[in-house]
Amino acid sequence: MGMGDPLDLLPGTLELLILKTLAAGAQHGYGIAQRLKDESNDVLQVGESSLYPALQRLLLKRWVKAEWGASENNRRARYYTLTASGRKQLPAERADFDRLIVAIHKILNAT
Amino acid sequence: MGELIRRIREWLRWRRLNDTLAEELEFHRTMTERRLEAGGMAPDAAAAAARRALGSGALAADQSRDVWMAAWAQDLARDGRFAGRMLARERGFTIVVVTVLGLGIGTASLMWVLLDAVCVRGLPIPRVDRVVFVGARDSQKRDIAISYREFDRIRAATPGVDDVSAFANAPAVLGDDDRAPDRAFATYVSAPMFQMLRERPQLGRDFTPSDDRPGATPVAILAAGMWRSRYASDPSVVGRVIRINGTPTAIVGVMREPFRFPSVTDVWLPLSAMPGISTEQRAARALNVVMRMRDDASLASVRSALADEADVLAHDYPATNAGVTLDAVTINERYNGRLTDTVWIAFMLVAAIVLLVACANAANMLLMRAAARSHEIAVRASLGASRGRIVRQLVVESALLACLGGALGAGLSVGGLRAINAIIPESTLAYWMRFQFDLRAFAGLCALCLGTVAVFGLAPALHVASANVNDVIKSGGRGGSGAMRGRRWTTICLAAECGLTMVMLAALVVGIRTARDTGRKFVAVDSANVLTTWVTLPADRYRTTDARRAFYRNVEQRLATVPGTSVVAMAATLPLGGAAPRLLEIDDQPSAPDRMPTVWTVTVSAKYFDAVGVGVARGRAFGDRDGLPGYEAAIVNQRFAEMFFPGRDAIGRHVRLSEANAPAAATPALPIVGVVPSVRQRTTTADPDPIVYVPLAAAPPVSARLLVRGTTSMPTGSSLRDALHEIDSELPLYRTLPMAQALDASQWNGRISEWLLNTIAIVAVGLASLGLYAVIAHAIAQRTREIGIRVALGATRARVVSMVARQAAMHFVLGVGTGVACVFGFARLTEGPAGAQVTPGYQITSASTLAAVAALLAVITAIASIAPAWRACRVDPARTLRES
Repeated sequence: MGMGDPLDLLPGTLELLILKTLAAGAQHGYGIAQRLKDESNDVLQVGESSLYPALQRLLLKRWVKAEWGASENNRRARYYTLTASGRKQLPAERADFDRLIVAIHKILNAT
Repeated sequence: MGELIRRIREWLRWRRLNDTLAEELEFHRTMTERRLEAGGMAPDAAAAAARRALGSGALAADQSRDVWMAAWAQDLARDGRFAGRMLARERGFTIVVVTVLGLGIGTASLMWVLLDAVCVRGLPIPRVDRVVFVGARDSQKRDIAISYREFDRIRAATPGVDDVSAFANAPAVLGDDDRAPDRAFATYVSAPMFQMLRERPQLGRDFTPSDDRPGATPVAILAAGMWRSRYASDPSVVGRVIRINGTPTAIVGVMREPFRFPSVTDVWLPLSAMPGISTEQRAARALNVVMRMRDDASLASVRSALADEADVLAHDYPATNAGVTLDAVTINERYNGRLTDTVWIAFMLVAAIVLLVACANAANMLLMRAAARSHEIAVRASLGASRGRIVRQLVVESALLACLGGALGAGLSVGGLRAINAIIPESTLAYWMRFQFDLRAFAGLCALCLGTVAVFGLAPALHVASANVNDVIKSGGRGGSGAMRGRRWTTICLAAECGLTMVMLAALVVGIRTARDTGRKFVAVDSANVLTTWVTLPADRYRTTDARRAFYRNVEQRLATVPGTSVVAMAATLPLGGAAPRLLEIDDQPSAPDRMPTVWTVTVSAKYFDAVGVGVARGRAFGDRDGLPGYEAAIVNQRFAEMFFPGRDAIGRHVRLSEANAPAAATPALPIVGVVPSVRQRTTTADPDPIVYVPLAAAPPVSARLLVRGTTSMPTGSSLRDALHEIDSELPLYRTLPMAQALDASQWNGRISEWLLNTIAIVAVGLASLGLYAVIAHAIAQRTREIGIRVALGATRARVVSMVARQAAMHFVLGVGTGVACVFGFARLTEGPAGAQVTPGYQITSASTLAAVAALLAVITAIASIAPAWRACRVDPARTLRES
């Protein structure tokens, strides 16, 4: 995925992380990037050219919706919120991701 | 599905999406910058770092957009928008090219629809190539129907076929207790008919062999159209008993829409129920026979089996079968129009010519534009546009042009079909002949036009590719070898266009002249205040000649008492409504049966000639007793008198009329008592036919047209109906119309031809004038600079106009020259082996035709040069010179 990211994410992972972040409440793009950076202790630095296409994909699937609102410092910002189907999708995506991780671990731990 | 809708919604708000993304990314960048500043960085350094940290905003926006629409599609859309702007700016060019393409595509696809419906598509029967029609011919090679005994033999003796079925058409009357009676087209079919056609009723059941036995309970199957119109699609109609020709008959089934085999049938009855069906008499020929070949049988084997069977029959029954041959053709061959008929060849040629003219025209305009475009394209190439990029742009532009042309063409052809369908009266064309827009053919034609547009639209790209970009830019799109080559092609295209247009115009001039002469001349009937209706006498109550004769007499007397009625008459058919062919023998000119000329007969009542308002030219009209035994009489038309008694008096001579198969001696000799003006009975022939009118009393028909002339105004339909229902309450009136309308309806064929001819003439003239206009306008535009200099040096307006006129005259001479050559070539090409039937003066190579067409072309050229001349006069020398 994203070019110039400190760490490449597995395909689809960014969408899962966005969904998880938004589960805590509405957030704008910048806010999502900051949360991901902060909570991963600066490991995940998501660039705009990964984040915004991922958000478009989520909009297209209608798992999130976007609305203009005022940001904390009173600037116009586009806030993303989970839709009902997005909320339903989160555990499913999470399960898929867990299966993937288990599979990868299995291969890496094989002797 | 939902995703696609969301995508499309976003495509429609593309600009908003761009703005949103830009604003979002800007916000993101600002926020990053602030964070860095808050961390103690200098504002300038923070801005730079923010930009560095987040990469290119443009890339993020691009990739976000790609989620909604693939990158190539975005490029295409951008090219499309640019092409749209280009075409909108060159509005004149766009309108002309789109009109030209639209006219070409529209006319050609309209012609194709007609051709396809009548000649190509055929009957909608599964595996139709296995269904064959058995045809019989008498010793003189005339088509005749088949008798029941022959049908029996064919059924038994033809190997390799299934479901041999016979059918015969007859008018019928449907009656119920609670509804007015309806006249219907009935077809008597033998039981396996629908199975043979692979059709199943949508409701109820098919006929069974036990339905088709003498003495079986009468049953009927309805067509979907009759079910809908008479019974409002009520499913409970199956099982109901209605009266068909007065006989209580149970409806056992309803067929599916639009099945009306063999043509426009409303109700099917078992063959055994056919009145007068004779299973014994060999001379009673009334049936048509169809059957389905098995997979192991071939048409050749079926034909040879039938030929053998005919020989056996001829040997066993020489009185009825001597010389009668049997043959089989596929059902489509029997029912389809023949592509080789002159009228269809003419249609195809016209369609092809219109399409070619349109393509040549479009090509021409694109070539001319290529010269102007090459400068712009050279500039783009020098600014770094790749050849692929330029070609793609031009292809998109061409495709857009072709699509607009196609849309116009689709509209024109749909509108044309609607107009044609409005002319055709209901239940005249067989159920499978539907004039419907054909998407496949339309797509093919569009592809052809797209090809033309693409090939010629790419000319500027090829020009730039082959020439030195520097030279093109320096020449300013004016001169250069490429422009010379372009001009040569333009001239060739224009010459071809003029040639083809002139051929078409010449053919049309001849066609219009012929149509005008034949169409109007012989229909000189006075249809004012005449109401007509069609009565069909139910066979059960009017089985005998006497019963029918009495009925018609009653009608005549009863209607004459209705106030405001001046004349009441009956005829088997109206003018233009057809006539019955008979073999003619004239008293003192006996001839062998195979040499007897065919004439046409119409059965009419005493007052018929008063009712249609033609009167009697010589002799007298029929009297009340004419036609009764011992009072034989006949009236002939002037055409007949001219043909058979040239220079002599026809009155007092005797004629004998016989049907093709019956011996002539049995019919009485009829003395000619009068001669009437020629009135056309058939619409298909150029000359009026020789007609013998026979009195109604001699052979009162089962079905007749009633004509009622009012003294001062049109009689009302209700007065007619009330009077008739006093005589017989269960008599359906069918097509009660003023005579003018009835004549119009029967001329639908001619009217469609006329409509098509007129439309094509307008299209041809339109295309030619557009083509000439474009070429002249372009030539003048190329000389704008020269004109500017001339005006600056003192040339007057008159001089400038004469310059334009010279240009126009040059093209006119070129066009007429190629045109005349093409017309002669076309005449050579279409010349028949004999060429005898062409009336002098109606040849396309005749001087008057060519003069008329040349004059038309001159007018077109003059009109086409008005706008260029006006533009040339307004050339402002100062501006022109400054610009270049």
